[in-house]
Amino acid sequence: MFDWVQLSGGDHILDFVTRSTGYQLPGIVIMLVMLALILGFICVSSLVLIWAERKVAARIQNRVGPMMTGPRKWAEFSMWTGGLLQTAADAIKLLLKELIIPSKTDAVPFIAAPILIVTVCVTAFVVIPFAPSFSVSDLNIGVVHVVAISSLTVLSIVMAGWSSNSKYSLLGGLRSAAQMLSYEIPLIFALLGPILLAGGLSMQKMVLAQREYGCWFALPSLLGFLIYYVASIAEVNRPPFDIPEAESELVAGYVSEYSGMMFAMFFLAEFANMFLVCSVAATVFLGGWMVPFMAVPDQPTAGYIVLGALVFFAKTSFLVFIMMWIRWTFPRVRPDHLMNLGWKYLFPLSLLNLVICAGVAVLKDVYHLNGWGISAVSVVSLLLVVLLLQLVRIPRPTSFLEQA
Amino acid sequence: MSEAIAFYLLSAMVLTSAWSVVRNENLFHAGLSLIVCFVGVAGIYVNLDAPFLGAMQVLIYAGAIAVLLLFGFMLTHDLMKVKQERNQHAAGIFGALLMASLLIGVILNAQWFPASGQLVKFGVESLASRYMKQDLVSFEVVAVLLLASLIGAVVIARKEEGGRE
Repeated sequence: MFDWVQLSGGDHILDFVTRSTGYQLPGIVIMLVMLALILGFICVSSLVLIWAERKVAARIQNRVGPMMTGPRKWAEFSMWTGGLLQTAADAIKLLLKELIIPSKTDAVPFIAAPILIVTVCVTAFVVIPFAPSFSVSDLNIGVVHVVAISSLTVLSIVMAGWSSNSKYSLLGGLRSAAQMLSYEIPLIFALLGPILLAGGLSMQKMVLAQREYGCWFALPSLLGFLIYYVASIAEVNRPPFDIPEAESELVAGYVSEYSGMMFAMFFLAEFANMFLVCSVAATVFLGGWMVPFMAVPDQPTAGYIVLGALVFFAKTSFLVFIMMWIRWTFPRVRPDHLMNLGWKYLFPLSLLNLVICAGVAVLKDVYHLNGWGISAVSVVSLLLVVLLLQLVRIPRPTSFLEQA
Repeated sequence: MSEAIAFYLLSAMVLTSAWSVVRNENLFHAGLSLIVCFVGVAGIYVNLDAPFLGAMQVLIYAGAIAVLLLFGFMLTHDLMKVKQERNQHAAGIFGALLMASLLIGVILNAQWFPASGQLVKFGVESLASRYMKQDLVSFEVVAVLLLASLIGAVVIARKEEGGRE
């Protein structure tokens, strides 16, 4: 009934070309076009996100941020329109800079690391459903694909850290590897809840399952949503979990020895990864492109597709904004606290989330609950969890002073 | 046709990187080659229409195990002075022959082309029902084994009671 949702963006191009010229495009052409489109999307979205990050930071710190680049009139209009061309100018500057490869580096991994991190990012974007019937390819292992491919990011960071042959880079790489390996586990376990509810792994099916349940998966698996969000901040190495690149201790961590274009690629991947984790969260937990209070049509309509894309970007941008807000509000976490949080709190809670989701899925099958019923069950189970956490005494992490 | 091309490219990738794992004197480069090898094997799985297996190969082997290996290298003191030693040719050849005979035995005895209509649909669902129905006991035994090794690792890594390092 909703099969059209699972079409891919490539299918639309193929269809359009065949109808207008009568010529059947070969599959590899479509593939290359789609990859180029994602790459373009990643570059543009990173530029926008970097600009947004600087403006949000400025607003939170009572500054105005970059104002000088761009027409004077824009800057006079408001702080949000001033300096719109700043990141574009920064990108051009980075592109024109000389590539410096320090003489003591291990050249092959040093050059391969930034290339790998961008490749991984582009590959992971393949399954993101930007709108109904508009993902690049709706693989039937969607969620696992994103998680598996993103797990290679840590490899590139380890390569950069090692091959730079500098103590700051090495320490940054080590810290990052430890952090990402530990936080990958609660991240995957938090995603297991919605996977269980949806009974499938494909991203578009995930959205359709939320239509079938009548509520966003953030409700039955609220715990999972929060765990996923915290763990994904740690996955993309953003403050307050930015220990791998803590400026005051490690200069710039694993990117210390990079300059010009190669540095820009790390930067680009960081922001693209932020968009990626937020779009996965929006799809899996917040209903993706589903327009609230509007039924999904049986046949594709251009209006719904455009509206769906807008809704998807609104949800994702909101999550991205919260990440920026968190960055400029909380101080950096200490390494041992970080490990404690990941292993002793998030991981057991994600198991609890899995149990709740299994219960909700069974209740839905047995009693044929609608959206309101599932919401009620979820709220009750969450209250029980809060009660349970009150009863169980959770040891607080000790400070260095107490340990001494 | 395109599947055959992909297969040969991936096989070349796996074989050359596996050769590099064994022959490279720089341990870090050998570790990186191992990851290339794992990713190539994942590509072969995807080519064989088993994308879930491929994703798991990338997630577990390339993304976790190999990275832990590199992590170990990075913590090793003066790694660049350590050269990979290759003085176990006899054992290596013996192991390779054993593995080859095993594989050849399996290949010769396997039923390659089942009659039409007998092809098993292979997917995540069939994998799940296999684990949760037919092979539940062996699945649970493996789970208990993994749990035991996990607890063992904690016991070994734990600090002594009272004494602080």
